[in-house]
Amino acid sequence: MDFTNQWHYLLAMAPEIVLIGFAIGLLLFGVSRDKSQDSMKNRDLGWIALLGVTVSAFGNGWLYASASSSSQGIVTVDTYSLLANWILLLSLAMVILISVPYVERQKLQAPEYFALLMFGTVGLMVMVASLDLMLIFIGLEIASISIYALVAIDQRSSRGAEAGLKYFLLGAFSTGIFLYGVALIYGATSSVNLVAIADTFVDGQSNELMLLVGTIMLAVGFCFKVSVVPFHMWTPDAYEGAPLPVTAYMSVAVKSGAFLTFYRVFSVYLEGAHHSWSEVLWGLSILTMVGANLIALTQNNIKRLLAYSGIAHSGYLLMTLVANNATSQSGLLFYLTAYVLSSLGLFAGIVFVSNQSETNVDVENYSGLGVNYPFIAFALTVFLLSLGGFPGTGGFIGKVLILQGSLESGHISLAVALVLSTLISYGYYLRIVWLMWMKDPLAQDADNPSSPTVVPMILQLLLVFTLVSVIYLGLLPGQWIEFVESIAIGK
Amino acid sequence: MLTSFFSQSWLLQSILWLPLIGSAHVLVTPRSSAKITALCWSAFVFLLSVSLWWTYNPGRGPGYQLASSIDWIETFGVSYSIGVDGISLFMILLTTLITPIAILGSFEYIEQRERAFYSLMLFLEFAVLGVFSSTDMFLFYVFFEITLIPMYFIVGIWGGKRRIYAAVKFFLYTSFGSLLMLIGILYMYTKGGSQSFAISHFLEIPLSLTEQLWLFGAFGLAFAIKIPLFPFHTWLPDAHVEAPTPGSVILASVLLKMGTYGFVRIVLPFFPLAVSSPIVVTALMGLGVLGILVCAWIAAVQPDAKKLIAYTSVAHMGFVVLGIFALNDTGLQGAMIIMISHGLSTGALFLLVGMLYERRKTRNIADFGGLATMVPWLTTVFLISAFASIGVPGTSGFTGEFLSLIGAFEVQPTMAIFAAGGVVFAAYYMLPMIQSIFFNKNNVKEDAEMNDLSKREILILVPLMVGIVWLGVYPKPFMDRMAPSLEEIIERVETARETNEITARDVKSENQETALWIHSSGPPDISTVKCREC
Repeated sequence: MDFTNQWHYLLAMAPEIVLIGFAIGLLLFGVSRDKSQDSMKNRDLGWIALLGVTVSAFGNGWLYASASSSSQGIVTVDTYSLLANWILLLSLAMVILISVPYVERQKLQAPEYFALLMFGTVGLMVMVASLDLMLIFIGLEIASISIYALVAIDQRSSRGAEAGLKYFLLGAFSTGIFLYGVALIYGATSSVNLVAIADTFVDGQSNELMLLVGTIMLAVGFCFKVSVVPFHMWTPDAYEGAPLPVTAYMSVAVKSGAFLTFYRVFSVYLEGAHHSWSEVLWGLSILTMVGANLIALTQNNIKRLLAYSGIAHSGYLLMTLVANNATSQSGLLFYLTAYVLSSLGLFAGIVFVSNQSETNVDVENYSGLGVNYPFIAFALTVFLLSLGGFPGTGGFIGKVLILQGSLESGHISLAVALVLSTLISYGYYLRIVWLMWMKDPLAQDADNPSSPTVVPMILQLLLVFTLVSVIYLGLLPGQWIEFVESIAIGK
Repeated sequence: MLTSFFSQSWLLQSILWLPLIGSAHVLVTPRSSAKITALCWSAFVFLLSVSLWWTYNPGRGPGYQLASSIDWIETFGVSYSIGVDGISLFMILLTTLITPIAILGSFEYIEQRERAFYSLMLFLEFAVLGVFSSTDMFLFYVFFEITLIPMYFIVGIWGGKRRIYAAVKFFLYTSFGSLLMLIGILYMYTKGGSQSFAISHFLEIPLSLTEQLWLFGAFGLAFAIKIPLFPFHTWLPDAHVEAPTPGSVILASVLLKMGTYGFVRIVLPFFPLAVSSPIVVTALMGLGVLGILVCAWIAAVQPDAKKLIAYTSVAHMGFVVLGIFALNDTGLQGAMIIMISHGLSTGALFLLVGMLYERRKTRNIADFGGLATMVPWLTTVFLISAFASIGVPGTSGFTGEFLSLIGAFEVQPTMAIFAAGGVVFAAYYMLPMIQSIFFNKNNVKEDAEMNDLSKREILILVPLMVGIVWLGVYPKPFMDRMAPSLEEIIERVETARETNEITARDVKSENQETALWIHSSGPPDISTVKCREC
C-alpha cells in the first residue's frame, strides 16, 4: 500500500477508526438498553471494548507491513507511530481488564466509561501519528477531554469531582499555552506542517525569536501533559481523585502518548532549534527527577506516591530528548515499554489490595501482604524494583540505555542526576517492599470487611503476564532492544 | 583435549547455577525439610568447588581458566562470560565453604518462614558466586547489585529490633556507590567504542590520568562502601547487629570481600595510573590505617560482643586496603590472605557469639562470666578464632597481616608502623572481651547450666578451625595459586607507572632536544619517546 489515494489514507487510520466505531457502538448501546431488565451486564461491555481493542490491534499489525519512513500528508504511518499504537492499545486493553471488576463493584456508568477510555486512546493515537500541529492539538484535546470526564466519572465521589475540575482548569490553561505556541510557530514559519517547519530551519527563513518563544511554549504545553516539574501540580490531585483504573490509564497511556508525540515533534522536526530548547529541558529534567523523587518520599497515599513516581519518570524520559541520539531514542522506547508494563502490573496489584474500590489506598495497608498473599507481594516487589531500575528487571535495561544515550552526548551531569534520583527513589519503593514483607498485617484487617479475600482470575492473569514480561525484558532484553533500534521516525 | 575443556567449563557453570536451582527447589519442598534440602544443595556445591582447587592450574599463567562465554545482549556487546583465576578461585571457595556453614548454623536460629530464608541464602550464594566468576563488566554489575536483594530481606525479615532501619540503610548506602560505578562502566564502554563489556576489552581502553582519577573515584567509592573502608563504614555495624547470625556470617565472610575483590580485580588493573599516583596511594593507605586504629578504639568500648566483632571487620579491611595499595606482590598477597583469613575467623566469631546468644538470649559481654570451666570446647574454639582475628603467629591472621605490613613498609614505612600498632590494639579489645566472657568470675546461674558445643556446632566450626591453622602454618599452596594472577596485576601497574614517568621525562628531554636540534640541525631520536600503553 503506497497511500496514493484517499481511501488509502482512511486505511492508514484503520486502528483509530475501529476504536471509534466500537466506542460509538458502546455509547449507543448504553442509551438504548433497557435499564430495568439489565439484559447485558457491565462485564460484557468490557469484553466488547476489549474486542474492539483486539480488532484495532490487528489493524495496526496489518499496517506494519506498509509502514514507510517518508510521508507528505498530515498523518504518517511510520514504525514509530505503529509502535506507539501498540503501547497505547496494550495499555488500554490492560486498563479495561482491571476496570471490569472495578466498574461493576463501584456501579459506574459502564458504556460511557469504556467509550471514554477508547476515545481517549484514539486521541493519543492521532496525536502520535500526526505531522501537523493542528492535528496534534485536536488529538491532544480529544484525549484530554475524555480524561477530564473519566477522572470525575464516579458521581458519588466528591474527590473525583474536585480532581476532575482541577485537572480541567489546569489542563485548559496548558492547552491555551500550547495553542499560543502553535500560533507563534505558524507566525515564524508560516506553516503548521512539521515537515515544512523542519525545512525552514534548513533554509534559515524564519523569525528566530518568534520561533524560539513558540517552541518553548509548545514544550511547556507538552510538559503539562507529561507532568514535568514545575508543571506537575495537577498530577497528584488528579491521580488521587480519579478512579483507580483511570489513574492507571493516565499514568501509562496518557504519559506514553503525550511523551512519544513530544519526542517526535522536538527530536526530529524541531531538531534545528535543539540548541535553544535542549538547555531548558536539561534544567527541567534535573528539577523533575530530583524534585519529584524527594516529594514522593513523604507521601503516604499510594496513588499520590505513584503520581510523584510517575512525574520522576517523566524526568528520566526528558533526558532522552536532551541527549537526542539514536541510543537515547531506543532508550526512550525501551524504557516506556518497561515502565508501562511495570506500572500496569503494579496497578493490578493495587486494585486487588484496594478490593476493586477506593479503600486501602494508604501505604500502610500494604503491611504484611507478603504473609497473606506471597505471590502478589512478590509481583509487586518486582514491579517496584523495575520502576526503581534494579538489575534483573526491564526498568534497569531501560535506564542503562538512557544513561548510555546521555553519556554519548556528553551529558554526564544528567547521568549523575539520574542515578542520584534513582537512589532517592529506592527510598520510597523500598518502603512499600519492607511494609509488605517485614511488617505484620494491620490488626484491624482481620475483621475489616473491605480487605480483599480472593484474587480475581483476571488480576492473576494480568499479574503473571506483566511479571513475566518485566523479567523477560530484564534478563533477555536483546530482541526487544533490536526491535526498538529498528524503529524509525518518518522525516 | 576438547572434551576436558568442556567438562571444566561445565564445572564452573554448575557451581554457579546449582545454588539457584537449589534456591527454587527449597521453595517447593515441604516446610520441615527445607533446611536439610538447602544444606544438601550448598554442601554439594562446596564439594564440586573443592575440585576447582586441583582443576585450576596456576602453571598456565595468569589468565582465566574454565572460561566460557555466550552472547547475552548482542546489540549492546554484553556477554555472559565467566571464568576463574588465582584471585577469584579463593573467593569462590570461600563462598561455597561459608554458605553451608551458615546454613547449618541457622538450623536452631531461624524459626519462622524457613523456606523463604533458606531459599534466599542459596540465592545469595548464587549472586555472590556470579560476582566472583563473571568476566564481563555488565554481568559483574548485575550480580553485584543483585546480592543486595537477598541480604536486604535476610536482615529485614529475620533481624533484630531495628532490622528495617538496618536493612534500608544497608541497601541505600551500598547502592549509592554502585550506581555511580554504573556511570563509570558506561563511560568506559562509550570510550572503548561501545563494542563490548568484557573485562579484557576494558583493559585495552586508553584513558588519560584525569579520566582515570574520576573513574577511580566512581569505582573506588562503590567498593570502598562495600568493603567498608573508613569513613564509609557506618552501615556495617547496624547491619551486623540487626542481622540474624547466618546473615552476619555471610555478610562478614563473603559480601565484604566483594569490595576488596573489586579493588584487586577491577580498580588496580583498570586505572593503573590513578592508583599509583602518590595522592591516591597516601589517601587510601591513610584511610586504611585510620580505619584500623579508629575502629579498634571504637571496638574496645562496645558492650555488645557482636558489635565489637563488627568493628573488628572494619579494622581488618583496613589491613587489606593497606596491603592492596602497597602495590607490590607481598602486600597484595597479604591482602588476599587476610581476605580469606577474615572470612574464616570472623565467620567463626559471629557463629560463636550466635551460639552464646542462643543459650543465653543476650550478647552483652558483661552478662557472661567464667564460661571457661562450663564450656571448655566453646572457649577453645573462641580463643583460636580470636587469636586468628588478632593475628597471633600460627594462625591465618598472622600470615596475612605480616605480609601486608611488610608490603606496606616497603613503600610507606610510617603508615606500616602505625598499622602495626593496630595489631596491638586488636589484642587490646579482643583479650578483655575473652577474659570477661570466659575467665572472670560471674555468678550468674544460667552460665553454670550452659551446654557445651553440640555435634552440629562442632561440625560447623571444625572446617573453619582447620582453615585458620592451615593458612597460619602452611600458606604456600594458597600463595602458589594466587601468585601468577597477582603478579600480572602488579606488572600492569608498574608498567603503566614507568611508561608514564618515561613519557613525562621524555616530554621534558624532548623540549631540550628540540632546543639542541635547532642548534645542531639533527632530528631527535624518536624511538625513545614511548607511547603509554594501557
